Amino acid sequence: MLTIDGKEVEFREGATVLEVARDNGIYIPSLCAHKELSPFGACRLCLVKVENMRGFPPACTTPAARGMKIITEDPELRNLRKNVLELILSEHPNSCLICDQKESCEKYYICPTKSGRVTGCTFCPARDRCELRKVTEYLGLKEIRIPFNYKDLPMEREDPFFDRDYNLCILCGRCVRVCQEVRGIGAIAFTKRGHDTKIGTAFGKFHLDGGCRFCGACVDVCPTGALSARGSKWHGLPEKEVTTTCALCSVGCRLKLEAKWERVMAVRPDEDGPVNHGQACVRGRFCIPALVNGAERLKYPLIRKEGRLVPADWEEAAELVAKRLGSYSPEEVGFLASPFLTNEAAYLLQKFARIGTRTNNIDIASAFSGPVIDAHVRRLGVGAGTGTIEDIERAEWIIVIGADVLTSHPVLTVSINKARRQGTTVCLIGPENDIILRMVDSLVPVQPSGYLPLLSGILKILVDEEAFDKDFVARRCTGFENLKRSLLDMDLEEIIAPCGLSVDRVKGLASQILKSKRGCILYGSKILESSNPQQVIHLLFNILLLKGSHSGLIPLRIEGNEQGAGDMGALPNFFPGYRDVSDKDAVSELEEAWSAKLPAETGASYSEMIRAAGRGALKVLYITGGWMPDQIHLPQIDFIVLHGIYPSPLFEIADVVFPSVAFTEEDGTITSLERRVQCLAAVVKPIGMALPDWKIICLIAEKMKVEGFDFTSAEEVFNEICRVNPLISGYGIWSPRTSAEFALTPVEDSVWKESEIISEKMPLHPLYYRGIDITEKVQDLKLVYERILGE
Amino acid sequence: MQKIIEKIMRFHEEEKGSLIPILQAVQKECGYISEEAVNAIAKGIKMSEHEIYGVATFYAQFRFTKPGDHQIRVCVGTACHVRGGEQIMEMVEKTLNIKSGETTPDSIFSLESVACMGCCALAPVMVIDNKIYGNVASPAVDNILSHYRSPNVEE
Repeated sequence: MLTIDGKEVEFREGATVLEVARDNGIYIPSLCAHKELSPFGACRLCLVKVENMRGFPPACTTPAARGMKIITEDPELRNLRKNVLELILSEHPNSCLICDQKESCEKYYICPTKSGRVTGCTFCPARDRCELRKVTEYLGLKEIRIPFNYKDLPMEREDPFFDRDYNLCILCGRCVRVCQEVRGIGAIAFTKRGHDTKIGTAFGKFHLDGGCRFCGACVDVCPTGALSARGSKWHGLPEKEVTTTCALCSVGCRLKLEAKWERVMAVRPDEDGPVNHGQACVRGRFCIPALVNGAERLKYPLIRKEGRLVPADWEEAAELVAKRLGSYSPEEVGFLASPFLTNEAAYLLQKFARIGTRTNNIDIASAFSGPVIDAHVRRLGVGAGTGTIEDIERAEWIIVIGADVLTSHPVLTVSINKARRQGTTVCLIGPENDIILRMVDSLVPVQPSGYLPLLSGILKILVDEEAFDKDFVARRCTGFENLKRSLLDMDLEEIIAPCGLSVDRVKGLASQILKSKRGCILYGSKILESSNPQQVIHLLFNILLLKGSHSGLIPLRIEGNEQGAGDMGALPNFFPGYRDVSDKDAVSELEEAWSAKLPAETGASYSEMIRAAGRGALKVLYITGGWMPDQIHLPQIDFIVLHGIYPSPLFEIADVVFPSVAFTEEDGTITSLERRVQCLAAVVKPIGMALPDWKIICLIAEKMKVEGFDFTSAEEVFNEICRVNPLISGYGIWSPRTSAEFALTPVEDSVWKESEIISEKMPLHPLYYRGIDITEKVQDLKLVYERILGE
Repeated sequence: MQKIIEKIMRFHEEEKGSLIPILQAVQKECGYISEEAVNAIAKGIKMSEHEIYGVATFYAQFRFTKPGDHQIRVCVGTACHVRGGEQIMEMVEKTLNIKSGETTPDSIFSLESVACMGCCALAPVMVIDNKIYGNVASPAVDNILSHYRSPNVEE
């Protein structure tokens, strides 16, 4: 209990005076404090009076204590704050802030003049969001008695994505702190001191050379116009702002998309996002407008006539596809589901494949489809990981294997970083890199070929030293004796020899796992380059189980809705909810739900379909996107249908092209790598005549007179999914399993069939969206990624 | 360079707290804090190069340019200021065509200003390496400097 402005309030242990005030609805002006950052005490605006404390302590750095009597506002404090603000403004262009004509100027000068130099609010891109302005207005400052000192620093515009004008900087240090504390990168720092202090880089080098990942966190926390996103700074205020889920990778960040003139023009991370908490990455923060607004976006359906793709209307195109699809036998037709389809579209696509064309030839065109999903289904009954992003933050140890998570899933590093600050040991098994070196406790440079030997070695140490959770293993696991037996005859030195590490190093690594309990394992697509990816997953799961928990395994899926597409049954061997196509109960239940007959045989996988197409066994390929080999050569195929948002190399062989929508233009749901089902909300209307994928499928089904596709909204489709799919009951994280027992698998040299992987040339980095290389649409991203991948 | 820094790092704990002693040792060995040095330290103590540079630039004791063969220090403290220290500084800058804190392109001289050398009676004072020049007059600067230009001058 303490007293603040005469009011007695309770407070949380460890809270600062500023936090207590805010929790109780008392506003104290401040510029450097930020809820995600540690207290700093730079701006001196939050000065308060505390009884029996000398001077005026800043509220943001003073811990609340029992019995404190705090005054947050009186004439003396107000005067003091005005003086402090005057000092701040003496080095920040301030003429507009105190101008007599301010009101009428704001009214009639609605468009900011595009000026090279910001000399007042009228010319400042941040004026509508400027916190300095809000504070000035709150304090009612009308006069600045100190002569203005313009720092006259050069504008910094050489780097990608954002401009820096440090003449507007008030040195609050938020950008430095967010980069160091939250993102763990430290790409900027305070340099020099006194009057010469400036936010900068070592030796003034470019941010591109200094390890910056351009996540934009610094731009988002800047209280002034010093940092601004170049692409959107002059658009003014948006006409509308819609919160949706980013589909560019599988983390599931919630983003606020700003639109004007029916175009997405800027993006800000949503502070209430359950996963990202106000953070984003270079792709989500800066690339979406350019990606979805390209002039070459497909606007109308195309059909091939006399060898050329020519515009057509929906009726004609859908009619043609319906006619052709109906004229082939089921085993001659194949469907490729894009891992960027919404759950609704993926669900309808597999439903259409199964009851419209009566084939199970459907697969997701992505890296983790096939073997990886199968491995998970074998262990858990579902093709999903067991961990959530919250598990990362709660873990005592974290292993990241086969992924450059900072590049592929930048926002996850925020969680990893948070865990590490709380004392979690983070170990990365993968390539060496300076920045990552700072973000982990140990970095084990092992090539994918060494993953199996290394993991077998760790398992052997865990079992030999009996450093596993005996109670959990006895209670919840089967197969421990088999595992133990398989390790018994192995010699540690011999097992780990291929991974190129010394026994001591592996023991050191294992000891970090030995000493703590609850863990989390994130694996990335590089495990596909190991000699047996499925076995890698089994061994990783073994490690988790031995440490007493089944949860914590997270596959670092690349594409936005690969998880959801699998959950929806866009797989050759599984119905929605990973129910096997040979499962009689599942078949009869679905036949009843869909009132149609289902095909009996397991379908062809991605690679099987491509091979079948090559030798002429597959006649029709229905491609909704996803990754395709560069030089696809399918002379034997009769008919190719394509969904797309941009022209692509597949145009050369497609017979019908349907213009689809980007995720910013449709409603629906997608499922993140932690199995979190989240909404997409249409920010703008589809471009031209484009339609959402699920509507296109419904249209064709209608033309083919297939029942069960008369949906009028994505929500209706989602409702059917909730009825049919046992895993999905609504939004939020769906539970992978509640069952009691987990199998430990023995370590063995099982053989891996190379051909099961979809292609060795498949790019294992997340630069693609619906078959489009994002770097081709966003030049700045190309610069950033060339630098990152070139390291 | 890399070797020297590795050697220094071996004597210090690999943690943030030892940054300043490391920087001091590097400056003592190499004469200045170079970009390569900052990178090497960054790797060793798992800090970003920018943070290290930020810390180093906070302190006046660290320099970031390679020092010349001869270190010129011109006093601009109170007594020297009164007796024309600023003009001496200007003269040296003009003669060498560099600013305070810089090194001549031929790496012979580096120039810096100091606040007091402790011999105010001799003001204005200029110190080259360890030799003190007192009561310096602007026209004499060129003469003094030329003395150091010939290669046989020892410190």
